[in-house]
Amino acid sequence: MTKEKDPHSNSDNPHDMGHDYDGIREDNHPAPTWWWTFFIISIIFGFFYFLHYSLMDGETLKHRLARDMDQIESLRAKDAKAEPSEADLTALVASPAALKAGRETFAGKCVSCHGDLGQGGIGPNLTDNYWIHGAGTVTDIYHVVTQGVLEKGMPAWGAVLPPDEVKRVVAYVKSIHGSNPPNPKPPQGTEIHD
Amino acid sequence: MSTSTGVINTEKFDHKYDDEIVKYFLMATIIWAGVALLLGIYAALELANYKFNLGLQWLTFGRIRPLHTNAAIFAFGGNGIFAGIYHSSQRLLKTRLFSDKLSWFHFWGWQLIILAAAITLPLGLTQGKEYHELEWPINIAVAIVWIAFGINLLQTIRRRKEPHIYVALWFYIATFVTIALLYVVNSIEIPVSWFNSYPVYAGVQDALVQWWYGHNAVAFFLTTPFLGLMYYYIPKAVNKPVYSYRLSVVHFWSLVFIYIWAGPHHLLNTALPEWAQTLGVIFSVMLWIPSWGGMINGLMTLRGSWDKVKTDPILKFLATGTIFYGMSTFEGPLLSLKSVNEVAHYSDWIIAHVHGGALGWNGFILFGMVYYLVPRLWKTELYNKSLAETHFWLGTIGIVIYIVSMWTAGIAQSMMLNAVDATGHLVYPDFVQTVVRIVPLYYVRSLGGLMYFVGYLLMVYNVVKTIKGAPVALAASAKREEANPVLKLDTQALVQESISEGPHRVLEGFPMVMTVLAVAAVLVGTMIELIPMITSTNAQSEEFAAFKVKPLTSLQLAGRDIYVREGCYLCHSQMIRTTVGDVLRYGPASETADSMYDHPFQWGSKRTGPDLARVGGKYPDLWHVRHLLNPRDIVPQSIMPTYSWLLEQKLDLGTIERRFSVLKMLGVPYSDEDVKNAAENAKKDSIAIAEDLVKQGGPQGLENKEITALVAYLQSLGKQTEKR
Ligand code: HEC
Ligand code: HEC
Repeated sequence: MTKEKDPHSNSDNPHDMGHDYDGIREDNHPAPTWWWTFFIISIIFGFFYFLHYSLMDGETLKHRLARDMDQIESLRAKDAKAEPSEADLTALVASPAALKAGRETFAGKCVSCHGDLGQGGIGPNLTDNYWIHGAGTVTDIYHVVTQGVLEKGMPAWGAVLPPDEVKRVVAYVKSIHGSNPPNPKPPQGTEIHD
Repeated sequence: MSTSTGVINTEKFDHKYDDEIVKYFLMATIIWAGVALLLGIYAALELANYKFNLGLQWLTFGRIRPLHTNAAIFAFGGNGIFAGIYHSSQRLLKTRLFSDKLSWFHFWGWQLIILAAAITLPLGLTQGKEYHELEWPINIAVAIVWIAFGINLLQTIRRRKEPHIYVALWFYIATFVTIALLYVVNSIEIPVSWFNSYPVYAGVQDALVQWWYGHNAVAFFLTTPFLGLMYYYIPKAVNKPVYSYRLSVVHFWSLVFIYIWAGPHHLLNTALPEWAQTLGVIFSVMLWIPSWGGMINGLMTLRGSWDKVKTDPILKFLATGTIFYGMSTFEGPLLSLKSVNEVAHYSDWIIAHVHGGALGWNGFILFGMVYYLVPRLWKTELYNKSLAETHFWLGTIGIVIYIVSMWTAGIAQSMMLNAVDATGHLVYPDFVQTVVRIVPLYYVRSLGGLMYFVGYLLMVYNVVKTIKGAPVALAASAKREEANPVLKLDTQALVQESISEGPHRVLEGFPMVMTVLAVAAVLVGTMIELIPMITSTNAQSEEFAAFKVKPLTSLQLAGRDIYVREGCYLCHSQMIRTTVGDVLRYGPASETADSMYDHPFQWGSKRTGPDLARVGGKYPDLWHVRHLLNPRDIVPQSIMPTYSWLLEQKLDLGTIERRFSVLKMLGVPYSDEDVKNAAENAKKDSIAIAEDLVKQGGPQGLENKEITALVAYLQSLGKQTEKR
């Protein structure tokens, strides 16, 4: 039953294996040299890669992350010396350019909770005389905004926004105090009179 | 179509082959291809604009995407490989299929499974594991039908009239045995009701088992059978010898052995233990060259015949499909490098990658096969060759548009997400800022898909016209008169005769031995990766000793099941990777312990929205309610669908007790009290949340509504784990 090798059927083809499956014949060219070369290189690569990362002291992912985060921390530390003074912030409240930029940030990041005019919604009204945290001074506002009130759902913006942007949005919040927007949220916190 | 010697050869035996079953599978392939493609375009449009879901829960992205992927892989791909395997095997073995009854059982069983998928997935009945969404009764049906297919194939091989088996059949055998193994292992789950179940694996184990399955479904459902088809249809269509026999031996075994290890490359930079990640990287790199062995053998078979490729649409599809295979298998190892993966993972780059494979490789091989088979099976000529030519070009341009748009979207979005400024802050702190930039590309992608679909329609028209113009069939291919006898070999003579061509030639005469060896080859990687993971990462292990993890309350668990039902995990991950971009955006990297009680794991594979691993407590409850009611009320540019029905639908606590007791059995530390009071506790918690929402100024009457459970679940994320 086995098919005999038929040297005549493909005598002009030295590569022919003599196999015939439903008319399909098989040649036996060698695989290209580059194919073997790369195969062997990839196996050697794999071997050493495994050796390095799993059996020797290759840097682990957690280690690399810690190193990268240190770098981020040092970038932030350099910038943090710019912790603003009351006067810095008050100056911004008087600067139309800063307020304009602050309003944009407010529109992007804060309106979902504090309402488009700061009248309150999910978060408290920011325009009235009632404050949950501090007495509504620029530094008080600055601290809530940078550190947030995580357990109440007020995000810590200091970790998210660049410092300048935080300062400007703080100035903007200060500037809308007393603006009496329509549909204010009922007061929360204690009443403060300046 | 010119009649090649190959075809004449075949026709001598035609009368005894079962081509009826091939015709049926071929028609099913064509029909389901249309469904899969349409669903793909629809899902693409839903991402571009959520309104395409028409506000109907059954049509939201989270439920349509699984339907699309299952239709593409199992309905289009599955029917296609069955048609090709049944057609080519009979001819390569010179015998009729083993059993007509089994063949028809296989055919109708498979179509019923697809139908069941088409009904259950939009209803949200899902396991929440990708490409393994179907629920347990359907899992059982799949396993049975698959085994029927396997028996039919192996028994046909035993009844062959050729002493040796051709390389295509090696690939078919590897396909059958490995898919059976993968499917069964990933289906070990405990039912909690008729249509829901929890996997026995949790967290990191579940992740590894799932991606061992998922990756190798690509390998052994979308690669090995297609290589088999390539090895049959390319030489047949061009009527030239296969380039290199020894290359096929080497690349077959290296592919089968190496592929199975590469699953962890779906979990790079995650909480998966690093040794497993490293294995995933190196075996993916080693996979590149064996894969290219297949491509070389396919393309070099066409050497000297490129003039024919220019004029013959069949060869155009087959050759281009093979080139796409080469592209995908180069891109894959590249994506498996941890640094590249950091950018690509969770992004649209991966979507580009899979569609290069699915549309380019799988789709084109099957279209080539359709154009080859239809005229031959119906004994006529193709109705219109230039229409097929147009199909080819529409398809190719469609794929290019698709891939390029998704490459761009993926890389651009990842760059934005990871960008850090000089002060050490994210340049784009809001996720949605990066989304709006790529939405236009979502439309471009849909256009690419649409072109591919129009090409497909041309094929349908061409096929219908071809069949209509065919001579009236004389008689259906003869029914089996008696079963073919099992091949009786003089084994000694066979060995002696084959050994001169090397030991592998001998093996080709003993397919059952080859089957066993193929199983052994895939078991090596499987055991080395899975067994340590399953035995070592249990609650007592060191991994977890440093943490105290609270299991979910009954309301939170009910919410988790809604999260799975709605397919939130298809847009949101719960895995903060060990990368700066992830940590700055989402918080400290996820620990293995965080998901130790998650049956199933929720790490996700694509971030169309932000990671949710630590979203608990980030926002007030009311924020989530408003956001789910309409995300755009909170984030004006959001593309997330609305989930308004969650505020109306009553929370179903009918099976919560059973759910708890199943989890308890699987090792989640619930007390008997917890189990007994599960429903009571859930109701109490739901009322408390509803009351609180009213106090915050939210809507009235949400007690015992689904939304309270989902919000409770979201608020638990990242809050369950405490360092000891
Ligand atoms: C996810 C919702 C949310 C977002 C977004 C949000 N906040 Fe808040 N915010 C709150 C909540 C809730 C409180 C109240 C905290 C409390 O009850 O202690 C609050 C409190 C505050 C307070 C203190 C008010 C007081 O009465 O003491 C300030 C100031 C503030 N937010 C500013 C901002 C600014 C500026 C932004 C944008 C950069 C912002 N918030 C974004 C939810 C939010
Ligand atoms: C089509 C993809 C998609 C689906 C499906 C989806 N989301 Fe979203 N989700 C997004 C996008 C995009 C955002 C970012 C914009 C926004 O906040 O709305 C988002 C944001 C979120 C956020 C806010 C995260 C943060 O840190 O600000 C939560 C929470 C959320 N989704 C929950 C869910 C839940 C729960 C489901 C399932 C019921 C779901 N999503 C389904 C795309 C999706």
